[in-house]
Order: sequence, then structure tokens, then C-alpha cells
Amino acid sequence: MLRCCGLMVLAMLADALAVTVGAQSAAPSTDPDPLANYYRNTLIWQNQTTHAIGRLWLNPDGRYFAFFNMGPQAKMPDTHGPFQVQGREGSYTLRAAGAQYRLCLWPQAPRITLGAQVQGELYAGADCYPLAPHPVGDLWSESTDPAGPVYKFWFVRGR
Amino acid sequence: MIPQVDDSVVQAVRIEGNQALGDTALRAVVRLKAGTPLTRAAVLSDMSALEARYRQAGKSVQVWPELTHPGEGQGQPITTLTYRLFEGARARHYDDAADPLANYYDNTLVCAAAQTGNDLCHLWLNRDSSFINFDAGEAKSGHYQVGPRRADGKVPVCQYWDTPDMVTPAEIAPHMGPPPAAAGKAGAMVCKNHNFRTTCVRGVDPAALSAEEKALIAGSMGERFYGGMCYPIGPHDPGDIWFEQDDPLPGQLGKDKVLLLQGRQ
Repeated sequence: MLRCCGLMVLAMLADALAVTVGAQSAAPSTDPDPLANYYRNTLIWQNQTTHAIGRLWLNPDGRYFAFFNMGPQAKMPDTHGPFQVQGREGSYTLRAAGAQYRLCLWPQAPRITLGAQVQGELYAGADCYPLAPHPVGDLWSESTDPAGPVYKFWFVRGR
Repeated sequence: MIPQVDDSVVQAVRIEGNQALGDTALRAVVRLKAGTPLTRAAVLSDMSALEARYRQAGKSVQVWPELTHPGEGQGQPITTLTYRLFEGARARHYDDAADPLANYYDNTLVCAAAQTGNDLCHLWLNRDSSFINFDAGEAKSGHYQVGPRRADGKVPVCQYWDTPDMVTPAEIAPHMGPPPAAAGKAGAMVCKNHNFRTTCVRGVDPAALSAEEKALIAGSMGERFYGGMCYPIGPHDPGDIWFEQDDPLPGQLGKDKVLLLQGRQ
């Protein structure tokens, strides 16, 4: 169950101090790399309320890439948007929280404010997000919280 | 069947965007004519002459040279050099010795529909010749090769996806292009790379193709980009918006709208 997606700045600061870049350092000892299946594969999700679609790539070197399809926009974009397609890159840390994990994302500077971020879409901001290991090919739905949207996930082979 | 572009000689020279000065006055200072050798030096000389002519008239102008090949998709490319003028704008020059892609690293190149303006793809070029391209349906990494600078100052950038595979589930994949059956009736599309240039011809009868050319029929966008697609890219500043008419598969109105955005987004 996806439990929280709220802003966790303090937790992220703690991550910065305690965890080096890379996924393995904070993982429980029983699981050498809970993100192993994510490397070279793609996590795709769709917000069932906004219908925004996103993709997440996690690299073993601690870098991540998040891509968003916000759907057709009402206004033609200029250099300030609005853009149907948006992307983000940066570094991540994985934080163990009991039996679960939180993926904390650190967007690369300059941190452009994306429409996906303003809309509160998954993995769009500098935030920590629940993330569980999944086998490639998995398909599932989760809700963030009682008042939040339902997300449909596809964990697909390849990129 | 698939034409090869020859840019050694210009076949047509155009001047567009001028209102303050007439065609006759401007053509008098342009030395490139149909049938003359097409070189970067000749284009730079013409740009300087046009700017000088406007200064003489007490006006400023920004000159953008554009090398295009109308008719290429129909098998009859015409090497055309157009001087596009922006009257009243300050002249802008880029150092030919500098990396023409320098302003693209760490920033975002957006391709958009020329008519509706909808953004279609975002391209992140990296200094190490790798790139990431993403659109409404896919995100792909790959590597690129840069060809020699063209007469209009642009360089061909040939992009090769790391994989031809499309991974997006069908239920959320955007519909692109006609259904396969309709596309088959309209003929095949063949794209061929030669000398850092991609020439695509639509509506080809496969029976008329050589064995080598038949192998170039690519069914999906992934297959085409896996095999390499070359796009001309010129030096620009973040914040620029322009149109590109020399792309291998131009969209609406036969051209693509292009934006260079600050940062990665």
C-alpha cells in the first residue's frame, strides 16, 4: 500500500547527511538491492483522476529520470509552457522505513517548476515517495491516501 | 528510388521577410546565385552584405540562412538557400569555431507542431554524445553523431536510439499515424541515411525498391530511430523559437516548430 507522498523535507535533509548517493546504502541487509529490477526497466504510472502519465527510470549510479505526459494543453506553449511533455532528472536516495522504502528525489539544478509538479504528480517534485520492489511485468493500482487519487502502475521490461 | 542530396551547388536562392527594402536592392548585394558553389564562406559573405545594406538604409536586420531541399520527399530535391530577414532585430552572429550545440547541453530542445504549436518531443543532448528524447508515448536514450557544418551554419545531428522497442502499454499508448492497413495501401515509407542526412520518401511501392532499400522500410518509429535519424540543428540561444523546414519527416505545413528552453524540463 502506498502510504504517503507528502513533503518530507526534514527526512530528506537527514538522507543527505546520512546516505550517500546510490540506492544500496540505505537498504536493509536482508535485501542487497531492492531496486535491482528498476535498473534498465521502466516504471509507468497513470493518475486515474488527472489521467496524467509518467515514467520513472532509476540508474544504479544514483541518478533518476522522470517523464510526464500531462495530456493536451488548452494553450499553445511558448518558452514558458504550458507543455504536454515534461521531464526531470536528478539524484535519488533510498531510505528504509521499517519493512518499506521511501525513494527521495533530488531534482538537478536549475529546478524548473514543472506543471507536473504544480499538479502534484508522482515523482515530479523534490520529495520522498513510497516505493516497493516489484517483479518486471507487474501491474497494480494503489491510492496515496483516502483523499488522494488512485494510480495505476505498469512495471515494464526495457526502456 | 531514394534521392541523394548534393549541396555542392545551390539551385535556388531566396530572400524572405524584407519589407523596408525591396527584392531588387537586396539581390544586388547577394553573390550566391543559382548554379554557384554553395559554401559557408559565401553564405557568411552574403549575410554581411545584407546587414551592410540595411545599415546603409539606417536600419538593423537579423539574417538567418536556411538550407532546405524542397521536393526531397518526392525524389527531386532542390538545394535551396533562403536568407530569412528579421527587420529591426539586432544582427546576431555565432563563432563558427565554437561548438554549435553548446547551448543545447543542459537545456531542452522542444519539437512542436508547426500549426497547432503542441509540444511533441523534448530532447536532452549531453556533451558525451548521449541523449534522452521523450514524448507523449515513450522515453528513449541513445547516442548521436554530429556531421560537418553545413553552409547555413547548422550541423546534422544523427540520433540513434539504444533500442527499437516501444515499451508503453497499449491501453495508454498514444495513437500515432494511420492504422497499419491504411498505411499499407498508401505505400511504404523508406528512410535512408547518407552523408549525415536522412531522406524519407513516403508512398513508395515496395515492389519498386531494390533489395537494399527494402531493408530500409521501418515499421515503427522505434525502428526508424534505432537505425538513425539525422536532424539539422543550428546555434541558438535559450528562449529562441523558430521553424525547421529541412527535417526528414516534417509535420504540419511541411515544417517543425522548435523551442530551446532553459534547463532540463
